Amino acid sequence: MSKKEKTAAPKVQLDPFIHWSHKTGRVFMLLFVLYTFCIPLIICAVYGCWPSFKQLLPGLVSIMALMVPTGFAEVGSYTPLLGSSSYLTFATGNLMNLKIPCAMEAQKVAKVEQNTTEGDAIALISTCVSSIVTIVVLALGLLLIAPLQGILQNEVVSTASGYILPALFGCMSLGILGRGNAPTYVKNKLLIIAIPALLVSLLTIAGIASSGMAGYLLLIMIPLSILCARILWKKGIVKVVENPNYNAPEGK
Amino acid sequence: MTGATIANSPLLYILIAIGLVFIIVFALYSFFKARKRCLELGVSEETISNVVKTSITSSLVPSLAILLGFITLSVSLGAAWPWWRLSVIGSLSYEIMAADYTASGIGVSLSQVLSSDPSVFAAVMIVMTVGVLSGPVLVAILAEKYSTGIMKVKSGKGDWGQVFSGVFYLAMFAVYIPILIFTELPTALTLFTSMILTILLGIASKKLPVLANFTMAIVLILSMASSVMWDGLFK
Repeated sequence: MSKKEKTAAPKVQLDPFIHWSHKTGRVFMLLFVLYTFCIPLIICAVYGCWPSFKQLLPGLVSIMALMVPTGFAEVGSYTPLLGSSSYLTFATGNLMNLKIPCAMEAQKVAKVEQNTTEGDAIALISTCVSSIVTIVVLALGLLLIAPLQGILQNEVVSTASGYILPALFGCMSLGILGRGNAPTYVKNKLLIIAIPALLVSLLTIAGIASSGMAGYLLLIMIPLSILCARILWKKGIVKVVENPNYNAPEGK
Repeated sequence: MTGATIANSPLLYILIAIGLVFIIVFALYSFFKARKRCLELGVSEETISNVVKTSITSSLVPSLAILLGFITLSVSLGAAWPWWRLSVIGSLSYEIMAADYTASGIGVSLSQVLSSDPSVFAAVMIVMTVGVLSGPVLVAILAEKYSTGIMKVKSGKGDWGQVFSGVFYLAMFAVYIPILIFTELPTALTLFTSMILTILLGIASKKLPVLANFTMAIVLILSMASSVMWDGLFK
C-alpha cells in the first residue's frame, strides 16, 4: 500500500440515502421483473394460447446467447456511472441513447461529481424525470399513432434518428476535457485512455469493432484503463491537483 | 382467433397501463426522496429546478426517436406490446431481433405474426420478455456492492480514489469516440458538428445563462438536422 493510501481514512461510511436508494431500487427491480414476466403469462392463461416448447426454443436460444453476455457487459460498464439510479435505468431501458447522457448532463448542470452522494441523488432525479418523459411521449404516441405515422416515418426524420448517438456523444465528450466542478481535478487524465482509445481505433478501422460491440469492448477497456491509471498515478504523471476554477456552492 | 386478437385486446392494454403506472409511482417516489436529500446536502432549489428542466429537454429528442421505433414495431406487432416494450426495457433493434428470431424459428415472417395463430404472438411476447431480463436481474443482484464499492474507494483511498472513480467515465469515451469517428464519415461529421455546437452554446450561455439548461436539447436537434445533410452528401 502506498504512503498516499495509508493517510486515508480506514473505514468509509456511506450516506443513508445511498443505502435507502439501493434497497428500494432492488425491491422495485424484483417486482418489476416479476410483473414483466407475468404479462405474457396472464395473456396466455386468459386466451388459452400457450405456445409449445418447440415454438419458444429457437428464439429463446438465439436471443439469450446474445443478451446474457450483453447484460453482464452493460451492468459491468454502466452501473459505476449510474449508481443507485441503475435500477430505474435498467428497468426503463435506453441506456446510452437517453438515460446516461441525461444523468451526465444533469450532474454537469448541478456541478456535482459522480460517485458522491450529491452526484448519485442528482443522477436519480434526472433518471426519474427522463423515464417519465419517455413514458408520457410514448403514451401520447399511442393516442396519436395515425397522424404521427406520416410525420415520423418521413425519410428526413428517419435518417436523423439514426444519428442520435454521435449527436449525444459530441455534446458529452467536451466534459472530459474540462476540470469539472470539484475542489480538485485529475491532471493529465486523458493519458489514462490513450492506449484503450488507440486499440479501439485500430479495431474499428480493421472493421472488427462497431457500436453494437461497445458493451463488450468496455468490459475489456475498463480494466485496461484502470491498469493504465494506476501506473500513471504511481509514476506521478497523472495526479490530483487543486482546481483553480472551483467555486464552492452556496450553503457548503 | 389470430395474433391480432390478443395483440389488440383490452386486457393487454390494461396490464401494460398498470405496469407503467407502477414505474411512474416509483419514479416519483424516488424523485422526491432524492430531491429532499439534495436539499439537505445544500443543493439549492434553483439547481434542482435546473436539473429537472435539463432532464426534460434532454429527454425529449431521444424520446421522439424511440417513438419512431414504436411506430415501426407497431406495424408488425400491433400498438399495445411495442408501447410496453419501448416504454420500459426494450430498444428497437433488440425488440425487432427478438421478434424476428422467434417468428422465423416457428416458420413465419415478422409481418405474419398478427395474422398467425395466437400462440405465435404469445411466443414472441415470452421470448422478448425473457431474453432481456438478464440485465435487470444482474442489476438487482450486483448493483449495490459494485456501485457502493466504487464510492468507498473514491472517498477512502485519497488521491487514487479520485483517479479510480473517474476511469469508468473516461473508458466509455475511449470506446465510443473511436467507433463513432472511424465507422463512417456522416457519423464522424455529426459528432464533430455536435462538439462545435456545444462549444458555441457554452460561449453563448455565458451571456445568456438560461441557455445552459437547454444545451443538450438544442445541440441534439441541430446536430441531428446536420446529419441529414452529411448523410446525403457522403453516404
